[in-house]
Amino acid sequence: MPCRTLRKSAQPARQAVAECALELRRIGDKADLRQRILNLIAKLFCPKT
Amino acid sequence: METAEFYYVYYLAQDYLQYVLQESHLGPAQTRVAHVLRNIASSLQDQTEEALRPFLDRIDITSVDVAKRIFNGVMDEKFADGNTNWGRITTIFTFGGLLTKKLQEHGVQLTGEKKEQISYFITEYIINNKAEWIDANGGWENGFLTKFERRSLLSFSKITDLFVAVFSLFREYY
Repeated sequence: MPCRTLRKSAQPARQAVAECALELRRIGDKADLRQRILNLIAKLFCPKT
Repeated sequence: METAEFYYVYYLAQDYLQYVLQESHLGPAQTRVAHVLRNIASSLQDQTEEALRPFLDRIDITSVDVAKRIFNGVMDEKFADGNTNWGRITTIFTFGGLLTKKLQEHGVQLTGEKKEQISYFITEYIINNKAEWIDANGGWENGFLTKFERRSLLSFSKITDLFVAVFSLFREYY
């Protein structure tokens, strides 16, 4: 049953793609927030930078 | 015909991939944006590799075509919630770097042509899907640089030092 085999192997790949996307989203959002905080602190402590 | 904007991003992608692959002939970055991107994206590279390895190990990334398919699938899913920020834009390059390393691990000979193909599909995704957002948010020079260049002036370690110094001062007098 080639169709069934294809479906079987496509499933873990789709899952892996979804998990990777979630992790990347988390890492990107965290980096963005961290930079926002750093820039805010920089503005407060070193307003000239 | 590709636009100037396309070639701008293409250079960034190509430079970052060479940086991640630690190519010996690679000199300093040619632009400030490329320099900051090298620093920011590579600072997330280890963390990204660690977090994504269990999932990517389930997929055989044995050709540039497969890598492109995975890349586009992951990017579409990542931005499916409708939110975009510079952190997420940075992880586009980080993920491109990770897939390139995976291809290498799978024994794919990374010729100049293959690296160009990878840089091309990364650029294609950004231009087709994120160019408008990038423009609306100051572009690479006024958006990305303004946000991330400060980091070199005030890092987390400097902030920690500052707080430790203030705390020590308080403990001395109270």
